[in-house]
Amino acid sequence: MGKLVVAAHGIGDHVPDFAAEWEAILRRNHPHGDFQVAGLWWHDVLQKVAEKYPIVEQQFAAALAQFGFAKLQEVLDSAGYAMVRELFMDVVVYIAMGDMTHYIQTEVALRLKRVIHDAGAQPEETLLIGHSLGAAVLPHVVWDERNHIGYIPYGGMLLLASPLGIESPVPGVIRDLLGWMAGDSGMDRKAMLTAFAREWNEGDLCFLNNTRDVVCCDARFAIGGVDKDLIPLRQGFNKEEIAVLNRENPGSVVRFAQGSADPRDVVSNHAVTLYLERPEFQRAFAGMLGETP
Amino acid sequence: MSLPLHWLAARTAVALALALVVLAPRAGGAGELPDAAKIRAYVVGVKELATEIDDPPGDNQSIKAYLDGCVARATDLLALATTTPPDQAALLAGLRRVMDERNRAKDALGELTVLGRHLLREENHEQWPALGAYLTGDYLEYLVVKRELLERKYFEEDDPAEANLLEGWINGRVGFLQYRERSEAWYRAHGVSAWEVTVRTEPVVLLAASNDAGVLFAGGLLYNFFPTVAQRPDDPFTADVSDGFFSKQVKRVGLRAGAGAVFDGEGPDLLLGLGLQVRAISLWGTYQPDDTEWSLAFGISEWDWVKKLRPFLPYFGR
Repeated sequence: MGKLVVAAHGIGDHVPDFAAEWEAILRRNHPHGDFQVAGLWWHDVLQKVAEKYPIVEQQFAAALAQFGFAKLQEVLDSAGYAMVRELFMDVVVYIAMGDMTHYIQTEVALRLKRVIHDAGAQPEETLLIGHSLGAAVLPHVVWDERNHIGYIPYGGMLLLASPLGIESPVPGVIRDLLGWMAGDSGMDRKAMLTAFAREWNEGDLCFLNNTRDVVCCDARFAIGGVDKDLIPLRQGFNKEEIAVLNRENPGSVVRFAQGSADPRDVVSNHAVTLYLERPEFQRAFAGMLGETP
Repeated sequence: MSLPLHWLAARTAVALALALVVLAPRAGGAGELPDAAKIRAYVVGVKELATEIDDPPGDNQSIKAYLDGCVARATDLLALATTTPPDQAALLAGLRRVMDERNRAKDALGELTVLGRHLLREENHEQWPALGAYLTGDYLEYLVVKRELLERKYFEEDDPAEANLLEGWINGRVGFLQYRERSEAWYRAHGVSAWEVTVRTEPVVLLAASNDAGVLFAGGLLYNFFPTVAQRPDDPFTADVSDGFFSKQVKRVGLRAGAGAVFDGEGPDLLLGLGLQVRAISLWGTYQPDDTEWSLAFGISEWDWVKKLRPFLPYFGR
């Protein structure tokens, strides 16, 4: 039996069979690969939490509207608020509320176990591919499993546009994603990355980052003829962190540049299809499948 | 034709052995633990790895100490596995302890040489899984129980749609409220705290002659009654939940304090309140400083109810 490839999506809207699009690309680029693809759909979990924890209580705004104060309801019903909520709230609900991080992570971990069980596969034969926030949830899930069984049992992990490098400017208020992984262990970012990279055999871990993608790199965009970093945070791993990852697991951080520096391309520079079509991805994936170059 | 008795006995024994092989759960199934042979094999394997390090170990001191520690801990575990009669609970606790100490030792290794990294991977991927796989069932049980309790605390309420970001942040940040896996405090069930803070706006109706309506911005400290949760024997991905009277009927109780406004037909007046909440219903003792007036008030932490009560709320929405 070949490998089971489990795909985990990121933020935004995703249907339960979202992985069909991923599979089509994987099959086209690896026609002789012996693998099956299963989607790890968790959009509903994020939605459930985001709906429970709105910035403002929806029912409160609706009640105010009934009593003549409609402005708040208008803001909440606007397209702008919907977009902010769809993109921003998914990330906020995952990282800002500790118990909800536990809840989401636990639900995703259970779904992962069930997907593998239903496919009749073993973890050792399973490759995990995560995109965007899915590329933060997967490391969290496997690290929690490692903390409970002493090792990571999966065959490989490909993280596309992972926001794991984002550094919280106020870690005392909101932990960043690496800080969350380290938990109460006392490990700093570099120690955490060292420990994580060592858990995988060489070639079985790959961070794939587009330097034009604001989610995983400090991408600069041309605004008014000047290159600007749109986000006042450090999103990507710094040079030392990349060196640590590549020292502990050679080739585990792969960077490329694709897409324009036009701010209107922020979304397309982050698209999962862009990542899946990259030759760097295909090389890493082929290696994990055991295909000869 | 009659068959010799020993042939029948042998055939029965073979059939039984085959049935046991087919029916036996894989390593790591719930309730299964490594036997002495598996632990011995791990000890031997790790000792062999340690022989690849020169004496004195030089730059490989930390990996040498790590491997020696692994051998020492597994030897202690072996002693537990060979006691007569075998104590499965002690062996499981021992295996968890060995895994915890080993994880901490791995995390503290510091920088390693190329040989060090190779030996760590060998121990981690080739030796340890023979023991660690037996904790897989334990891990799945932890996931199922944790998920169910968090679901119960945060989503199976009477008023789940009334929360907000601030409330979520507080419950996830404050020590006695947040999930803590290793804590065994009396108010926790499998690490999930029964305590919860709410920060919400809430409609209230004064139980005075006027039945004035008001709004309170209120903070509350609530106690959740949890059911007993275990893993279902027939479906390891699902929880088996047993509710008692309090977890089924009462669900949550707590104290609240708030400040807001009451609408008495002559514009809003300041309203202060202290309340007792059961499920989504609160009974408030309120005070209006402007009129130096005390009253009881009734509140529901559910704005949908306001729509139903509107005909009875004389000033709301006019």
